[in-house]
Amino acid sequence: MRTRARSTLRVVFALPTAMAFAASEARGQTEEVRVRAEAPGDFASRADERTSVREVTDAGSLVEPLPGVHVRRFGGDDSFTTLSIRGSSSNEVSVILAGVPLTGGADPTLDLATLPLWPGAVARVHRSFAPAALGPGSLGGTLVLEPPKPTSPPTTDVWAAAGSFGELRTRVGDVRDVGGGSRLVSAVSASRSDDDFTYLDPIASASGRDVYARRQNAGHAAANALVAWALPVTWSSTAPRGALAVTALAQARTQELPGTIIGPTPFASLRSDRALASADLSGPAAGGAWSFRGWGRREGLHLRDAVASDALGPSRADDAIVAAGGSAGWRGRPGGDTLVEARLDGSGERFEPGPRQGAPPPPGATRASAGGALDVEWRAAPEVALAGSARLDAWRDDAADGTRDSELRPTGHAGFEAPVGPVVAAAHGGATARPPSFVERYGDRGAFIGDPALRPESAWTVDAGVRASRRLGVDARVAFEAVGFATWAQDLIAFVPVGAYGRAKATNIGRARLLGAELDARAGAGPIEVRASYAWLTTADEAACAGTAGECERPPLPARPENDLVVDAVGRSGPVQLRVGLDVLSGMAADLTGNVTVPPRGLVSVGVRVEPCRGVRLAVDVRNLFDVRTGTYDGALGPIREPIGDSYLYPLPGRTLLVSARFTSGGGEP
Amino acid sequence: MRAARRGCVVLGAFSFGCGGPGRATPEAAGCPSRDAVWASSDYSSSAVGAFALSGAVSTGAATVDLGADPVLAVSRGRAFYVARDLGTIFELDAPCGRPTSRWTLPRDARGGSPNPYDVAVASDGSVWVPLYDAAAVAVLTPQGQVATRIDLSTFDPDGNPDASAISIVDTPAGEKAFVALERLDEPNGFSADRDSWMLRIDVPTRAVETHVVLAGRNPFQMIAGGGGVLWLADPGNFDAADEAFGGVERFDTATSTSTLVVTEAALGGSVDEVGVSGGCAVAIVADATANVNATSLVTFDAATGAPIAPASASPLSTPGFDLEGLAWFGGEVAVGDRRRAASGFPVHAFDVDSGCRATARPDAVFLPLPPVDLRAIPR
Repeated sequence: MRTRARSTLRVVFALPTAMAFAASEARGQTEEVRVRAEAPGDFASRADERTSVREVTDAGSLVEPLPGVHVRRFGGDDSFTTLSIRGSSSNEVSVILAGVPLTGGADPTLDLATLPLWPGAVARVHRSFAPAALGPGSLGGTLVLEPPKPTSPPTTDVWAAAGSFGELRTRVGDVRDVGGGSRLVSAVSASRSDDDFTYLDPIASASGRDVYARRQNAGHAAANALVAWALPVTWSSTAPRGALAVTALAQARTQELPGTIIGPTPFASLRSDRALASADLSGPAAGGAWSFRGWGRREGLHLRDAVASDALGPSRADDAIVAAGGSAGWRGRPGGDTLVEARLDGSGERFEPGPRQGAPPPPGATRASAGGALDVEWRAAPEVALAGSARLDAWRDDAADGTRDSELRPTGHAGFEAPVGPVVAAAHGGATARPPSFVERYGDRGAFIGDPALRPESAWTVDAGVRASRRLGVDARVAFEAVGFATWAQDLIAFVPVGAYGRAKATNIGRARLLGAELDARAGAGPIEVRASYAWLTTADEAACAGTAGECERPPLPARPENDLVVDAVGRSGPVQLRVGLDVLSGMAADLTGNVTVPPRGLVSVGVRVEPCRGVRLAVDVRNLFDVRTGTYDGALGPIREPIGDSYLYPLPGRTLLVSARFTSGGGEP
Repeated sequence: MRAARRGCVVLGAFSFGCGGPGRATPEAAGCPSRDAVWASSDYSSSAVGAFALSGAVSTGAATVDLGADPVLAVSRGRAFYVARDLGTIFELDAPCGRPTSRWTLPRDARGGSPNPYDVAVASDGSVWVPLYDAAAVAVLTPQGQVATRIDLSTFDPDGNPDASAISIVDTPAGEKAFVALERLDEPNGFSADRDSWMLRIDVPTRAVETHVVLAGRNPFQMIAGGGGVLWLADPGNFDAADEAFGGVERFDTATSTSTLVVTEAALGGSVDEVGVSGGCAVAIVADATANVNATSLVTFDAATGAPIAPASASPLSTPGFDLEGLAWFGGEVAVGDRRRAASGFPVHAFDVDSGCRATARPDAVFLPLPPVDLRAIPR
């Protein structure tokens, strides 16, 4: 077992990306067959619901402070929220919940607001590259959200909060022994909000006369439940034990859909439900452990809207997504310095459009996929590691109208990690890909036209960085990770207006170049700690030209911030903790040609936590402390003010307040 | 390079610079040689300006308040830029195509844009605006305040007659506003299943006098010709190019009678835009290929409707729905092209001879975004 303790660069407190990768934990194995390793194959960052210095409201707020991650909100908490990693589009991020892939052909863009949270939930973001054993990745990377693990210490954790705009939340998690070495995790969470904040109405406002309007039909209500059970399995009296872990999850959600501020949809709503289950069985094998995994997922989507809605879509739609899959693999050390994981996986997915009113139903579609994955890590020296990951994925799509397509696509990457002077350097390079979604391939028989012959999106990415951790004197410490990356993407799928009716047709016309840098740093001295993550990004749409100059100017990709900074300074005194945070975002284009720039914004937040007794924590968080609600754009007649937000059409709320309490019993710490 | 271009654009926004094709030279004062105003958009942002057929282009920056779905209007010597998605109207300094004032229309019942489609100015200075999504015509004061709202909801069974264009004409019976009503079947995919109407409104009293059933359907565009004549482009349904109610229509405001001058079958495609000068008419037509609708420039005799250069003999055809924006300048005609060339999005110019035959000239005008509308500057 390799640990940081063997390193000459002793980790005083670990960066998320420098934390040991307990790969076997993710597969429910018991300690006897657990193989720990560093993860030199990619840059990854980790967020833990328990250790976040900010009160975590939803999955977006959990991953928002991570470097290279941009969470795009279309309103307040729990509104439609998408994730971009290293400038990717939202459908170029794979999302895995409790080991079950949530993104697929039917729903490539996951609404982060639908991801459930429980006490002890952990999110890991793999930037660009991910271990092949996780499954097919994507161009941006992979988000892995793990519920509380059965291997966690027995504890009961209750969190409840009330906040602005009708926000009520609760999360309860319990991990306990149930005898015979078995562990049971049960968790529930629920939330609701109105999100009926006011925003500057740019149309109704005039020079010297601000008009604020109230966001209508923006609330939500959601409930989630999880049960996970793990028990040791003895395969022989002489071999180490294996494990069986079973996880089941159920969700129900009603999301009101407010539309844009110039095209509101006051009667639109989306009711969704999700049920998934997975089972992992592992056991010892020569030099390592084998494991089998099976999983299933069903999602129901029920859209309702007024017949004469501005959305111009169906007034009623009931769709379902059903998917199931499995994998088998072996992980171990064929040699003392080499760690290998090999897996075969396969899955099937079906999109079943249901009854529709006001629009023709999209074609039903299925996807069958199979893949082989190989992750290899070789420790050439105690602190020098070489790693490589390779996948070969085959998939076949069939539409209900008989259209079909199949594809065989290899992807992979390689990297190394080695000490260089006082830091550890790491670099990776490789290829990623994303198959077309069903709507891209087959359209929706309405506004979107598919192309069955679409090629997968693909990209080449290289990244390199350094990290270090140092104790300075008795009571001070500093740690950082700095990474640069470059991505060249091709065959990007864009919807291009065609024909007299301007329907959007999926085409492989996109090419893009993305360069960026990410910094994740922490420093502490005595009771003061500062955490900062910063991402710089510059993009170029290589398939477009802007301006009328003779030389083609490549516009930036829209909705990607050039600068994204999250800073938190925390001071502790006895049972009291005070936090001041700053979120800065700038350099984001709102349009395809880069002529409309979203005004930079800096939002200050503060939080106070008090632990009056062991196991109890009370907290007050104020976000957007100075109630920043507008930004200044260039206007045709001079500067004009618009609501803040990644797009002014979807305003963000002003100052919000969240009061919360947490009770933790057993081995956990609040 | 990018900074240089932005500098040019910012200068252009306030001093209206950026001179010739591919040039970024600030222009000190005025735009004396401009022939037309233009609006361009990629449907994520939009820009407006003016150009001369010789090649000089005045370019304003694409700003957020210009919206993503614009049209232009010219009436009584005044030019307007209409941001349909935002429900706002900019009056333009016509020689430069520069916004000089902005008016905001009240939201519709749901809180969205009422979708203004056109602008006409009456002799009393009032400004008339058909509201496509609000089933109404808004009559604004010269200062841009809504003075009267003329309800149109009773002119269509679905409650919205889809008012698409307006023209105010001095007729023998007085000053009248003529409002084209598409009357599309919205629940049925906005198909042209019903007769389209022309509404006649008495300007002094704001009273709807009558409606006239048009010979064509789905009047996409309406322009004022000489002698109180209105010309309408009637594509009907774009997925058919042989509909009896598709073509170019001539509406006589003096008699409130209408005639389909030429059918879309004769021209070789659904008519998207039309322009008339003397006895010669040009039009942009689109073929019936679904989700392609390849466009062509056609010419025909305005008096007889006889095709001179139908789509099959077009001087300019494109593989998709690429031609947008059409304007006459005496013996020349300009047409916008949404396919980018090396120096931007071209506006093609044609010399039109007395026989109504168009001959292409070398491209000299390039816009920064795909063109959507061109209007000759009133002299």
